[in-house]
This record gives sequence, C-alpha cells and structure tokens, in this order.
Amino acid sequence: MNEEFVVDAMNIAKSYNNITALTDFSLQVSRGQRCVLLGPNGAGKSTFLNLVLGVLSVDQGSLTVFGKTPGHISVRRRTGSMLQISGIPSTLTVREHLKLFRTYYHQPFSTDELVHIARLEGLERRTFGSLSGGQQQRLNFALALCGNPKLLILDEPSTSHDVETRLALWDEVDQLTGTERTLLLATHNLQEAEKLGDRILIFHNGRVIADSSPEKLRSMIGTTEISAQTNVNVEVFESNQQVKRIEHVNSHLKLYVTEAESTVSQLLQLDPNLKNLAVQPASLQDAYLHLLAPTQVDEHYRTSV
Amino acid sequence: MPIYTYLHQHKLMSTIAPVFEQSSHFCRVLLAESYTEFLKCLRTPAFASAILGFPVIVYLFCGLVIDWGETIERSHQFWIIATSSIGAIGTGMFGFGVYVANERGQGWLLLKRVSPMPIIVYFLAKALMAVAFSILISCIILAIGHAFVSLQLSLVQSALLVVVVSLSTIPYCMIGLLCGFMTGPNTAHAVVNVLYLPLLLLGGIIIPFDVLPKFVQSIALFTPVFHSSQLAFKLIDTSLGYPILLHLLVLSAYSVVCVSLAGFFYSREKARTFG
Repeated sequence: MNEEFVVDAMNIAKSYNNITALTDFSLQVSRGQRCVLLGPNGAGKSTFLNLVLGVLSVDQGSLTVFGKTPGHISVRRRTGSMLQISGIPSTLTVREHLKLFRTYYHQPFSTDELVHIARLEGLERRTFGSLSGGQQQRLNFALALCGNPKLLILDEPSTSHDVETRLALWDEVDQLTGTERTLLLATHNLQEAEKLGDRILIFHNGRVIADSSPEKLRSMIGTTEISAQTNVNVEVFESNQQVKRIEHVNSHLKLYVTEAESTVSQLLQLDPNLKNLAVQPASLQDAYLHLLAPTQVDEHYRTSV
Repeated sequence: MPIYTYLHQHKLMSTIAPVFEQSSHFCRVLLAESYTEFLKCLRTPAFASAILGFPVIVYLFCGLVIDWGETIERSHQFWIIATSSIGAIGTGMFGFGVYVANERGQGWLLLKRVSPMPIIVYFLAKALMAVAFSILISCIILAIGHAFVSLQLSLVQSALLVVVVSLSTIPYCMIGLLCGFMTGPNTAHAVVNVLYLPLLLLGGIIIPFDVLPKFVQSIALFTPVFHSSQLAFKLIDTSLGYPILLHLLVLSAYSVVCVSLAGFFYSREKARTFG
C-alpha cells in the first residue's frame, strides 16, 4: 500500500439524498502538513472529514488514509479526532474518560501528559457535566490526543473557548503538529486558520476553489490593503497593474495592491483631502471573502470545467 | 520441554503471540468499557431510580404490602420472580436499547466508531452492564424478601433465579437495540414504552397467565416475556409445563432476529448524520 500521502483522495464524489456534498474532489495530504478546511456551511468540509474518518464511504473515486481504506483499524489507531458533537457522558470524571480512552490504544500518552497538554490540571476529579463549555472542549481535545496520533482531525476545535484558552489551544496544536503529525482542521475562524495552517483549502459547493498557503492566498488579492475615505473616481485605478481589487462603498475606498507606495502617492495626488488613510497587510479574511464572491466562484468553475 | 521453548522451536510463537496480544487487548478494553458503563449508569439518577427503583417498588407493594390471604406463601415467591423478571426486561429494553439510541443521537457512538475500540465492545459492555443491573435488582429483591418475610426460596433456588434473570436480560437488550436503531434516537424511548407494558401484561408477570382471556393467551405464547418468565417460574414449579428447550429456542430466536435487524438498520444509519 502506498503511504506516500497520509490522505490521498482521487476524484471522489459523495451525495446524500440527491444533494451533492462533494464532487470530482482530489486532494493529497503529505506527512506533517497542516491543512485547514475553510468554507461556508454545507460546502463539504465535514463530509470530507467524515469520509477520511471512515464514517461515510465515497460514492465514486478512491480515498486512502495511510495507504489503507478509511476506518481500517490501523488507520483508526493512528488517527485522533475531535468532532463537533461528541456526546461525552456527563457523569464520568475527566480522569475516568482519559483512562478509558487510553485503553483503546497500544502506545497512548500517559494520563498526566494528556492532562498537562490539554490544560486540565485541577479538573481531573470533576465530572464532564460540571465543566464549562471550554473545559469540555479541552477534554474533547485530550481524548483526540490519547493515542499519540499521527493524523489529528479537528472539527471546529476552539468553539466555546475563551480568548486565553483558544490561544493556548492553538499553541498546543502548533507544537504538536507538523513534521511527523499531520493536521486536518475544519474551522470558520480565519485567525485560527492563519495561525495553524500551512495549507488552506477553501471549499464551495463540494469543490475546492482554492488550495494554497495563507501567504499566497493573501497575495492573490494583493499583499497590502490601502483604505481611505475619499470620493475619487475609482476607474483611475482599474488600469493600475499593481491594484488587484477595488472596493468602494459610500466614499469608503479599499484597494488591495502588490506595491503600496506608488498607489498611495497616486491616491494623495488625486485627493489631497482624503481622510483616514490606512495601509496594512491584506488579511486571510479579505482573501477568503474575495474568493467566495459570486463572480470569483463562477470564474473558478468556468476555468475548472 | 517448557511450552515457551517448544513454541519457539516450532515457530508457533510468531503465530500465537499476535493472537494472544489481540485477545488480551480486547479483554482489557472490554473490562474498562464495562466498568465505565456500570459507573456511568449508577451515577445517572434517572437510570438508577427508574431501572432499579420500579421493580423494587412493585415488589414492596405487591409482594409485601398487599395481603394475598391463604395464598400468601406462593404470592411471595410469585412476586419475587415476577419483579425480578420486570427488572430484567426494563434493564434490557431501557438500560440497553434506549441508552444506545440516545448515545447515537448525541454523537458518543460516533466518537467510539472513529476510535480504535472494536465497536462490538461497546455493545458487549452495555449488555454486561444490563446483566449486572439485572443481577443487582434480583439480589435487592431477594434480600428484601428474605429480610422481611419468611421467604420459602432456598439458596439454590435464589441463585438459579439470579442466573435465569441475568440470562433472560439478553433478548430484551436485543429488542431494545432493535427499537433504538429502527426508530430515531429521540423516539426510541417512546417506542420502548409502548412495547413495555403490553409485554408485561401478556407475559403473565403482572396478571397471572391463566386469568388472561383465551385469545390473549394464544398471543402471549409468542411473546418473549412469556418464555422468560416461564423459565423463572419453573424454579418454584408454577410454570405451565412447556419444555425448557422451547423457551430457550424462542428467546434465542428473538435475540438473533432482533440483533440481525438491528445490524441492518445500524448499517443503513451509518451513512446518515447521527452516526
């Protein structure tokens, strides 16, 4: 069996009740890669994760995980997953849950290690039901790590975390993944995606419309965002090669450019009285919204056909 | 020659070792899962009070409080067996079937499915928990019976009752499992409730079998409760005299059919959202 890729999907398709969840979908994830799955609800992210976990089976195409069929026992031993809904029984303590899950694996992390990694110190004797939402998510994360997995699948892991805990979780995931441990993370949090992903996949209607590093995605719409309040005629910038995208709503102008200096000079010449001029790096959110704009999506489909 | 050396010399060690390792891992997981399952249910007030409490309360009321006149000796024995059987039915159908359905709805079963735990362990552990609760219920009822009335049930009869009741829990687990997988997670409890009372009435547990109208009796013969209770009533020589093998066959058939259908519905449901 080929283990070159941790996840190897070739032209897969999946539908439920005549609704297409994934279509003509191909993806190879190498060892140590940290892939973040972005996209609106219903775009196909969770379907893809469920296919990788072996919970669902593909209708067409081929999908292997560690060179084996998803759901194979050797795959499950090497995979840790944190699902959105886990239904963890509320009457058992944190330690009891960890001890139970550790028995499933041959070489698990020790209970104390898990408590430390997931920042559950002092909560070991508390029942799951008595934990706060964020603490429950931390236990969920610890259960995913129990078997010291080579593939970590996280489905919206930082939901209901407070800011501090979210940052701590990101640090933990950051340290734990890469090199040997592969990450597949589905999220709506673009900050999370930027922090943890070295490969971003943007899903739309069961297809991947972008697959690149965060830096490259940002550069697709220009690496810098110039914003100002002005009433200049924006048509002037349409011929400027450095301007990748223009937004002008109610005198609020946003330009995404590859080189800021000359465009700022041009803007100041056109309107010396402009207000609130700001220059900052373009964010992943800008790139994401740009890519999911209807015209861009249409263009992607036209070019991909 | 020591067995270890013999196995090595004949190159059997490499064959036996993985099997042994897998078996011991399986047993370890099953033990941990069963223990956790028991703890979980014991700490759930709704479970403990309903499953444990109901048969015990029925026994206290019908077996101890009501004066059955001249038939008092037999009625003590009848109610011990009847309420122990009620315990087994409730534990199997509610404690196993409804719990599986609930956990399926809440996502716990899905988390188990994606873990390396063999999924059969999940069901075995739940069945063992149900059997353990049935034993616990029988023991509580027997203890009350022995403590408060001069119960004429020998130690051997009591022990056999516990064995019969614990084994007859299994078919009800399978019926509960089928209800759990045939219906949605949220409706399993209602469906089991709809089945539970008619089964108790038809099985000759709450109302003696010979009091039932003839046509009801003919229906009752096909219910699992009739056969499991008849097995238990054999202990005090009040059964209707059908052969033990017939009861065992009917209960086994129920178990096999229900588990097969549950397996079918489970595999059909696997592709849906509540895993």
